[in-house]
Amino acid sequence: MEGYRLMLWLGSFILGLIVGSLISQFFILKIHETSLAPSFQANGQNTTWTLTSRKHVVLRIATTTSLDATGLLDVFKKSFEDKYPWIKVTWVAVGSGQAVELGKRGDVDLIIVHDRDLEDRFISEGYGVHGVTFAYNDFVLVGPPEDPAGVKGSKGVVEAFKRIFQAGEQGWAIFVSRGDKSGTNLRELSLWAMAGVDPSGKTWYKEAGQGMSQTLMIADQLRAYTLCDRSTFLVFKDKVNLVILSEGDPLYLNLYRAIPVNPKKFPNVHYNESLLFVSFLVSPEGQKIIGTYTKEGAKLFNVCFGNLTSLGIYDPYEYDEESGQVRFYRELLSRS
Amino acid sequence: MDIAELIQITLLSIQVSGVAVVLSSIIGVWLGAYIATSEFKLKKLTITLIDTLMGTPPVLLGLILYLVLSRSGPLGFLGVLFTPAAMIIAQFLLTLPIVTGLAISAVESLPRELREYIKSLALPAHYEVLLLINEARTGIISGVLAAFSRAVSEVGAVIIVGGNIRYYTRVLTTAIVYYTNSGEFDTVLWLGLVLTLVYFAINAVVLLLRYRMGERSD
Repeated sequence: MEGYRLMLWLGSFILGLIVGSLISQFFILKIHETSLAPSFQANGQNTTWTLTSRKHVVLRIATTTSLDATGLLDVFKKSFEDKYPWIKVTWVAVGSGQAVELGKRGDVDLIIVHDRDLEDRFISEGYGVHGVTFAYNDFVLVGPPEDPAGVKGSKGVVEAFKRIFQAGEQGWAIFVSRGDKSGTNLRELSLWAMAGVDPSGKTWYKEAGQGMSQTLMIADQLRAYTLCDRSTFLVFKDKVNLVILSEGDPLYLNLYRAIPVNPKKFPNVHYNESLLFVSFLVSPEGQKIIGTYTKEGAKLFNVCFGNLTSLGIYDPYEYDEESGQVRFYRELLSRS
Repeated sequence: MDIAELIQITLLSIQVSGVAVVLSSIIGVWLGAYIATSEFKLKKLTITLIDTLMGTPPVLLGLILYLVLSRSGPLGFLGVLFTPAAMIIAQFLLTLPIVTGLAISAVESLPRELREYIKSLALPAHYEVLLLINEARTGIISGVLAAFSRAVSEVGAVIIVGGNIRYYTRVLTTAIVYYTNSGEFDTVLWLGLVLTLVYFAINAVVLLLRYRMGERSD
């Protein structure tokens, strides 16, 4: 009976603590409803700065998982919210395919993805406006250190994928695919296509259907190969027993682009705040945050706003002298 | 993850599930007792339907609710997707059939003589229902507790409509999913411990309530 009483008191005590803190939290939430803050109206040609009293805005971003898993967005959110205290930055970390879908339904204000084809379609169909590439890194092919398919000696990504296919067919190798229509998954599929092989449906080809980190852990457990963006791999390399086996091929280049959702399609998206966020991404300050971001001693992203051409890519949508997005953002930045 | 974030996640979890279950209890208990006392044509079918809905897979509910609450969906103008409000709606819908169903069986399991006696008083319908709810309170409280357990431990619906946004819609269960995926297993164990403590606290208090009430009603 004594133990029973004690348990009840302990339980009541914990519940009391919870209820008490709930009530206090409720009061804290009530403060900071509105604040005086500068904002700019970017309606086509007329970009002006105005000082207005406005309510807090929750900016919703659908981002590719790598920016979340590496912790970059957390750091970025802090500096951005310090500068624009009336904007609360929130994001859902999903694959690029799902991010684009969320954008197409108007459920988010901004998408950050890394698949050029998907992005181009998103923009040309009128869902996204003023997309701009702001950072890059590269993909790496990782696998078990014993490397059963002999990927390490291969020249370039196409040969590496061919070797995995052959080894897989002979039962020596397993490949774990994201299988979730993310940017990484789509890149992997196009690399298989370039190698001239089709692994879909093979027993050694496992579709995880999950994020990059889960896929890495599955690959680790199955002693399998997988394609991964370098940033996520660097963050996870101590947690898995996998090594980089193929890297450096130009086909591995991984570009990250931010695209605000078109306010003409969805009038209720926070378009101005999206533009503020993207201009902060490409501002010298934002580019410095991205370019110097390290985790466990490793630099994860490289910046490329305004010099994508030096990577051997010329995209007229972004780099046209007259109407390119790079020029648009430079003008926006010069006004602020 | 630091302590402050752990506390914030815990509070949000309780807040969301608590509000959802309070709302579903207000409606569900009343509805359940009313269904149990009244006689109508499709009563058996209604009860079967409620029992079926008790087992709704949370992910399915989450997906349907996502499509409804999406900006392109019928209730998109509300703009509640990816907010705590959406999670409350999801858990409200999830727990409503549970509270209703268990309220029905709690009232129906009352002694026949008692039910007939209350009926014979010829009170207005809502008085009769109130009296029955009072008599069946032990069973009804168990039902509410079961609903809360289901809500607070559910992950499928809240991760879809809430989006697992850090500091905003990340609750205990979605945080467990997130940190498992990131391989931070020690964080997951802490979250699991907190979730267990919350369970324990609520169970203990409900046990106390039932114990006290049981003494009085006997």
